[in-house]
Amino acid sequence: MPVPHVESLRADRWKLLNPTERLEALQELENELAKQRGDEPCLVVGKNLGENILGWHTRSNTGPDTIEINSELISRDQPYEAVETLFHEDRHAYQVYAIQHPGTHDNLGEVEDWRKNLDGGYIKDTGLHYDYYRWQPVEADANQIARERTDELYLGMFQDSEKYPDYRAEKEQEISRDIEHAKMNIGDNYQEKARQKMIEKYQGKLKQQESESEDYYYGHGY
Amino acid sequence: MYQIDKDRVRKILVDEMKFPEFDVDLFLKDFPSLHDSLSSAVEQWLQDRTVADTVVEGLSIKDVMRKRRSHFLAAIRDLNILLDESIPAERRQRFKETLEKPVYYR
Repeated sequence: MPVPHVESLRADRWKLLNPTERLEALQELENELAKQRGDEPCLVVGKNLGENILGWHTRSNTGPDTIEINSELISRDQPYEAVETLFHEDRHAYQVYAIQHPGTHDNLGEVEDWRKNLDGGYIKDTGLHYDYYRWQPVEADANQIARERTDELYLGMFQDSEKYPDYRAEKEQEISRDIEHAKMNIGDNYQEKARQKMIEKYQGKLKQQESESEDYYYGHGY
Repeated sequence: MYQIDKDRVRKILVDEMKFPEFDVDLFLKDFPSLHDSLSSAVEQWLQDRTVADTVVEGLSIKDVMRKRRSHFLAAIRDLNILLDESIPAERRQRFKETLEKPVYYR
């Protein structure tokens, strides 16, 4: 799918917008992305998420999902990080949609990994496991797609050769650092190892649920 | 080399700090032997959970914890790599650069 054209996301336009208008531009991007997959758009909100958290996707059973973007990114005069974060969080919405709507995503193995990952196998970074968190299937995929789409928008569509190349170079360095850290701590096959640990966690949750349902069964006089 | 007491650490992380058991076991399973110069910082933490001002290659434990939002023991494991002479100096330098920059979550 081509990346949607939202004119207000051009760096020179974005700079002139107030925070509400910037949020509206991000919402417009989300609306178009959701339309491409035939889904309801997430509600995009700005929120102070603290120093190191860029964004968040929250699923809801009662209304639209929510994408929170760190307000600090929205206040920046360059749109790149806010847009890349939107692409990242929207990809999580896509992963959920692909799990719930078979046929949406061609690679069935990936969808199965996402399902396990989001159904008990998610490895949160609690301060112990940045590498497993960063390279588990749903996060590795969302980071990669967000990077590609941000390039597509700013290098391809907007041909932003003024400030975007510097941003891009910094992001590439960030990825290199994440790879180096993961290789040192969990090995050269870091992505597959993160996937395996995710599956172990998912299977552990499954066993726990089974044993809890057996307890319930025996505890109710059957 | 210094070996952490994994049973003691597990008890602290699970019972006192309320980390999920899966996360703790995953973390401790491959936890390496540590360079002797890190032992006093770990012993101090085991006693009272305070973080010593130990500095390795110009980086303090607290620097790494803050930049990477990491737990004390994850920072110790990272700093231990900088002291591992079996790893080529150039690679250790590259790893140090990963510890000097913040990580972001989304």
